[in-house]
Amino acid sequence: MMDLAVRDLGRQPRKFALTCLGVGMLIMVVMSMGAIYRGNVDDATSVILNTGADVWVVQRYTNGPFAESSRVPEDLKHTLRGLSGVVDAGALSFQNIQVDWKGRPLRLFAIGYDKDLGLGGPPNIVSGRPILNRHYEMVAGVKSGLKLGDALKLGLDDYKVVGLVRDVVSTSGDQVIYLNLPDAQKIQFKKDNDAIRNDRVRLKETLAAAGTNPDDRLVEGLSGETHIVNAVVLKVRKGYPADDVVREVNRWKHYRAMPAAGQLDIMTMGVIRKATMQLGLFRAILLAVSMAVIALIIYTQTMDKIRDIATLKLIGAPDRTIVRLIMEQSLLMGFTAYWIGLAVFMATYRYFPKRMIVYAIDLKMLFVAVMFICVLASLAGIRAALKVEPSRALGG
Amino acid sequence: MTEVVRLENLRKVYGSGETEVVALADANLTLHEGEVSAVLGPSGSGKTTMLMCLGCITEPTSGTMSIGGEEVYGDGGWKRRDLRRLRREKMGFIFQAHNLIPFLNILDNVVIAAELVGTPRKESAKKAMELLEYLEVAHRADKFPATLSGGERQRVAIARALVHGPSLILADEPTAALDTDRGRKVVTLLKDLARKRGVGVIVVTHDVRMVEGFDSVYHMKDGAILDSE
Ligand SMILES: Nc1ncnc2c1ncn2[C@@H]1O[C@H](COP(=O)(O)OP(=O)(O)OP(=O)(O)O)[C@@H](O)[C@H]1O
Ligand SMILES: [Mg+2]
Repeated sequence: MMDLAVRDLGRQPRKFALTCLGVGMLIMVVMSMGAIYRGNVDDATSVILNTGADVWVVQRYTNGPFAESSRVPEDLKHTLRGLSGVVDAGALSFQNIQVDWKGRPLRLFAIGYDKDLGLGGPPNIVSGRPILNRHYEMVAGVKSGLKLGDALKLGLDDYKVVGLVRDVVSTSGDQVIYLNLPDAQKIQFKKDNDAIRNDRVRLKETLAAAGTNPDDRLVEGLSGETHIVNAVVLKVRKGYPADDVVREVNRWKHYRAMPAAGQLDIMTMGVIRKATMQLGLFRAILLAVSMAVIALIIYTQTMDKIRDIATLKLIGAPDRTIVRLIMEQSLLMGFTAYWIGLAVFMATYRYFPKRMIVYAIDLKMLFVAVMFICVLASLAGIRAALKVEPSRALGG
Repeated sequence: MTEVVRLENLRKVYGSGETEVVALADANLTLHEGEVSAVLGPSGSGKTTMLMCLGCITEPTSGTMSIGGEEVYGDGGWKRRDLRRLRREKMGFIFQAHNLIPFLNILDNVVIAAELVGTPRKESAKKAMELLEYLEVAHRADKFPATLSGGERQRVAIARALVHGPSLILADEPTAALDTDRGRKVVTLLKDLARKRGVGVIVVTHDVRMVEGFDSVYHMKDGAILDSE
């Protein structure tokens, strides 16, 4: 049996091409949103994964530093190091920083780690070296715009870029910089000398009011940098169940411990869930719009040739022939649009400001979804075509 | 001789109440294999209505209708479900409005009728070209209907009605758009088909000059078949 669908479309190739182009663009946006979603998930989990920790210990009753504010004392790491199964414990600090860099605001996510221990430090240095000196050095993300040798003023001091890392971003997609922990803590408190002096005076007055006569050295020690960090991460001995360590910490210490997977879940389920749902909703809406466009075109095209369909019935064409004519056109439209969308997407996605990650499975699923909506989109036209009487071919 | 068509008191009423029109008033008609019948009558006399009933396109109101010995309509309803199959296998139509498919070229317009009954493309195309050649439109085979004259389209429609080897041909004014010579040629073709292949042919026409040599001629008026000669 000859292919009626293609022959009919061939009569108005421009209309077909334009529709495919329009729907193709919609599909391209759906693809982009899928890739943005994947990028978001990847961003959200990037720091956690790159830390390489097995267990996270955070402030009790909190979900950890990426979801909310979490503070734990730095010396907790010493206690935790003594637990059975734990090979290493490192204190980490996290903070968002915005600085002016070459006349533009530059958003960075600073991670403070113990440079001697290395745990939680930069994972894959692409050029330069790790932090070696105790102070005033940093390792920055390749895409931050910072170059080796650049000096960036953070807080009160200048920090020199000694190394560059790839593919570590904060949950909001900002580039990461790594600092030695004492430097990071210093920046976090960022007090200038006046503020420090004021604090000391206030503390001295408070102590005096309580009836003591504090000497200046005591005041200085009390008001000095409190050694606070945002999380302590643990490395567990190979073969030793991380869950046992988690249970142990949760039972005895006044902190919350969770395996790395738990921290990841909090990110994907909690922090970026809304963004994910939003993207999902937009994708669904765009697919629905695509379907409406295809349905409308197919329906009007079917109505335009309703007399021809009546003629086909008149000469005895079975319903199967007529259903095929309409559904095939719808599928061809979706198919062509999908490939147009894919071609445009593949050619452009690298240039999007948001990080995009393309999974073959996402594209395949989308293809199935597009074919499915094409079937649905053809139903209205098919219904009208099946209803028409063959006598319609003869009458006006 | 085997019966191709038998109508007994076939009646078709359009509308109801004040708008009621009796388009076919208890028509009786019999057609055998190899017979060519003409139906003559003024406009509105029910000729097309009769052909539409015969083609199972319009449901009659009462009476009985048999096609190829099988009762297709009777007791106030269709006796058979798959009317379209009956049409594509047994019937060929040539209607007043030529009803070609605009998005198929001339060859495909003819080929489709053969393909619908399962004839392979190659064989269908061969048969179609033979008919188009006989009807002098073969040189237009790759053109589209919109670019053809009324007469050319009419001849393509005739080729389509014949290509799948039907046993009953229903023709409504098949020669209306043709000049006298070509008109005669078409009528001769239909008569030849009837004689050689045993096809039953019913031709509705205004043109009395065309009916010579027909096996029977029916006259219609106000939905009734008056007489046959
Ligand atoms: N679908 C319809 N609904 C209502 N009345 C109809 C319908 N079709 C035909 N009629 C009426 O039935 C009668 C017979 O019409 P029909 O088309 O069979 O005549 P005809 O002999 O073919 O005429 P013509 O020579 O003009 O083609 C006419 O009065 C017509 O108005
Ligand atoms: Mg008529």
